[in-house]
Amino acid sequence: MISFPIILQLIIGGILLGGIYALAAFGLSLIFGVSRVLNIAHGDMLMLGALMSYGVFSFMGVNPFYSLFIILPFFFAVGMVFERFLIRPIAGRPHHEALVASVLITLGASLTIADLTSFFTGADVKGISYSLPPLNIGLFSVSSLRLLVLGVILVLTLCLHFYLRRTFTGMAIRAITQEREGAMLVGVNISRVSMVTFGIGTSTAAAAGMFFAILFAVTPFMGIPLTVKYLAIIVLGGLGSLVGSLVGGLILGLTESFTGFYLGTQWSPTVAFLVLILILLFRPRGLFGIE
Amino acid sequence: MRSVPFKLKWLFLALLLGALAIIPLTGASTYLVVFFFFLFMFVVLATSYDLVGGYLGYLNLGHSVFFGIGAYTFGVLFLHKVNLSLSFTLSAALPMLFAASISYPFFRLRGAYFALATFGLIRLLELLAQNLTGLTGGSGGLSIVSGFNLTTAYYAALCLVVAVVLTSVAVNRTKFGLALTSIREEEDVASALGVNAAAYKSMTLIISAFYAGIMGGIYMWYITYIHPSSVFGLRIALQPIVMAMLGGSGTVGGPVVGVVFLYFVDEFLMTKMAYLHVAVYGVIMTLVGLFMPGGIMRNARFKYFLKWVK
Amino acid sequence: MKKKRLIITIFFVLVMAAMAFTNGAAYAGKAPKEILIGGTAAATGKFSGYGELYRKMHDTWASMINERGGLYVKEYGKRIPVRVITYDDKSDPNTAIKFYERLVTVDKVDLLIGPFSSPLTFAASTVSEKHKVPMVAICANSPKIYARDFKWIVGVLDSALNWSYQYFSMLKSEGRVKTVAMISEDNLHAKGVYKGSLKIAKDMGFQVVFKEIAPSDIRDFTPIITKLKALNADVVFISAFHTFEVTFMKQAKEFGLNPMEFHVTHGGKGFDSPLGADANYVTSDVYWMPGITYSDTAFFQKLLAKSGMEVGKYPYSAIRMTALETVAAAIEQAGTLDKTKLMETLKNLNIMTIGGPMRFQPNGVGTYNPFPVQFYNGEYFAVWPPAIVKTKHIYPTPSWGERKK
Repeated sequence: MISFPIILQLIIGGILLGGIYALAAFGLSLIFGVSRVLNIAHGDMLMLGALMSYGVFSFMGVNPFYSLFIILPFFFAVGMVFERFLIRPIAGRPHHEALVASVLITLGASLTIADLTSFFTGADVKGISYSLPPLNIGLFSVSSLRLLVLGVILVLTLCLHFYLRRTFTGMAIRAITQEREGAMLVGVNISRVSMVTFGIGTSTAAAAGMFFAILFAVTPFMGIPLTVKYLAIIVLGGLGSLVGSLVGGLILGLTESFTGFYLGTQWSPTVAFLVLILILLFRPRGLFGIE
Repeated sequence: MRSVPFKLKWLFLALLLGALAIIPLTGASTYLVVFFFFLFMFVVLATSYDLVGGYLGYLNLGHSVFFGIGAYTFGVLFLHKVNLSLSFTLSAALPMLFAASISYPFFRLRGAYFALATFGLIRLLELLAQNLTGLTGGSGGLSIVSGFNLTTAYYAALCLVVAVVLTSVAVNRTKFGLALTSIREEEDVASALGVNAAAYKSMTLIISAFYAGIMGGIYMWYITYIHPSSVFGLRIALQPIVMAMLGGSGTVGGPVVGVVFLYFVDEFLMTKMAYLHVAVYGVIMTLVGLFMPGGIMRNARFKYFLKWVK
Repeated sequence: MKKKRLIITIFFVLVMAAMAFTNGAAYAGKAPKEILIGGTAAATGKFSGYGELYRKMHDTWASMINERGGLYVKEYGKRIPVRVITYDDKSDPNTAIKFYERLVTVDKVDLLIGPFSSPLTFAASTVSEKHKVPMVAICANSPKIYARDFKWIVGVLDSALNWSYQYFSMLKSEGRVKTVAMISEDNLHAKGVYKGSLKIAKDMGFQVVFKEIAPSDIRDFTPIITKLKALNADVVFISAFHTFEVTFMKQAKEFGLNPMEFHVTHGGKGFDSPLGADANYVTSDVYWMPGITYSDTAFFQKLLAKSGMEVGKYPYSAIRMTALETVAAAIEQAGTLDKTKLMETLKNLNIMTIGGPMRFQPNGVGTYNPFPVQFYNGEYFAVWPPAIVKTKHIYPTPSWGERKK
């Protein structure tokens, strides 16, 4: 079963999956690069973003794609507040201690968020019923919804790219990720940048959540397993590397898609994790990690 | 410490141990026995995790793989009617072997990379347990009929608690522990000064795998049914680690205090609160992370309290 | 002085421990004040969609029984009020086993009801077996549970292997379906149903052209749907829980997969509300629907209304109801709270419940089976067995393109 349309289908499926993975992983990677925190609550932010777009869609009838204009700024603020009250207090601790504290704090936050959400919104599966007719090109059909989602992800990625390249804060973020001490020496205000980073990271997760609500399904307890996946992606790409998380996401998405077709979907996560661990063994700092 | 008459402290510990040892014999409700059995299980897991996570300073988020391998090894062997002592021996030996084989590649990773790679390892093993249906029963799980061994399992777990805590004390007071601490603080310097870091690291991992593995075997023997996410899932993976961190990683009492604290809090919330107990549990965790650097054991007030008691 | 402090601390620890492990209500005397029934339900964790509601349902059931004065126990010659104790097991087997021990040895319940899902029932049933307390399992139909030769458990559901019997009987009698594609989520329950359905379908002469077990957390069905489109099966049969089913249906629409019929094993609110109109025409299996009157249906509907549930949204509340009916019947027929007699009565029980006749095989497996319904615009309509059908089974399903917006 190696025919052109099928391969193309699988590539599109894999890229889409990888794109959604990459978008949120991107945020997690930024956060790690700047604040040196393993943010276990990242997946829960994604879940909250998904629920918010669901809420806006079902109670106010807003098209989920437009709801991004509400979600992005709102979760930017949420991220900043999260950083200010939960991460800032441990920023000054010695490295190992800060790592331990960050696990406790963000895992605690994650449990709290999930439980509160299930209490207030109920634990049933939710999702946005929104679809577009498939595009039929010749013999095979492509999901037009997926192409649209891919387009939006591409736009968001480009925006982030230019933000990081062209603005002062963006450059500061990159500087801190690459050379923390150097950035401090030239007078970069780390705590302010860290707050902005959390804002950006959280809003990318929330945006990915919107795509989850359209394409898949949402439950209050989906956060932590997703975080595990995102952590895997950024380790694969190299902690703190942005290109890395993009490539990592795509590798994972494509691996899952192709394994799913040729070996059976049952094996796709297993193979994906095997690939991850193999890459780590040969490149202990990930594909694009900084030595 | 010095102000305390030495004997009193030992007397207290002996009394505590004695009290725990007679619980199943007093005709107390078996709920109490199960309650303490799981408490012991967490003490064993948290303390054995802490050998690597606390003394060595490598955040091994995948510690539960040893527990899971132990449980599955025992379950599969028991199902194939291998004799009991051999099953238990292998449920400890296989995780140790696994630890030995992963220690070289994984210990090349440092800091957060090590933490995340080991985290990925649990997921990998969960998936393997799910897919190797012939051996493990897949997602359908593994069910054995082993009789009801609560009392025996209780004593076995209690013995393990004593052993693991003694190991922790030994590590704390010997040159071995000193070497581990030097690796935690400055691995490169320690190596340069002639500490054979690789050997120490894999030794420690193997010891911690031993305890987790045999605990897994005992757990399977008692609970009689496991499935991939019940032994390789996130809950069993994170709970002991969080307990150790909360109590104070890298101290003898830390993991034990953390386990007792969280376990009692959890039990209290579950039985007395109808809603939102997990949220409260999460908030407590966050607060400890925020306001008690180094965990409860290193908290000044708690130290003062310990002195006050003594 | 120092010793005093030590003693004070120990004293406090003991008091705290005593508070945690004892229960105010002592159980003594000849005629008990109340009949205690205990079980767990998950209010947190992955099965929690229903947990909180089930706790409410238990309490409401007890209060409705108590309005009549309780259950009549012949041994004491009077009606005795009932109380159901429900703990939250966090969907965790360790917590479940702990609370079942608590129910038996601290709360001292007379009879246990099972937790939600088969994996938890494995753990919980070891407690009832050890202490010789009868347990009526509810949402647990894995054949493995009953293959352990346990004496103290009965379960109201028929084995998962027989789940699809009614559905395929319908397809066979209609004679329009030839090929079936089967997909299962990789978990104990779904796989049990899948295995059984596979066998039933083959035995009834359908051709299974595709079968696959996919992981629970699958997000992308491209590989499966691509294969399905090439095979063109008449029925796409999905044995899974809601998240899996919803994701599959969305992507089926995205890719324009148009079989003659979609069948999912678990319908209800969690399935149709995320899908909206896209859930139309899908057939599913349920245990009870308004309009089916085997036993006291009015009581059940009042109970649902009082607990804030709707059977269309929570189709599994009916299973719980039959279990509660079974419990009540067993106690009244046994005429005693003696556990051995209760268990004996349970094994020989033959009653009518809201879902039909209830009997137990020697190994404890019950007789309750689901029947197929079809979803249309927010409601489920029974399509089989003929005795209860009011609207015709719509087949084939219109393709995605033909459906009205």
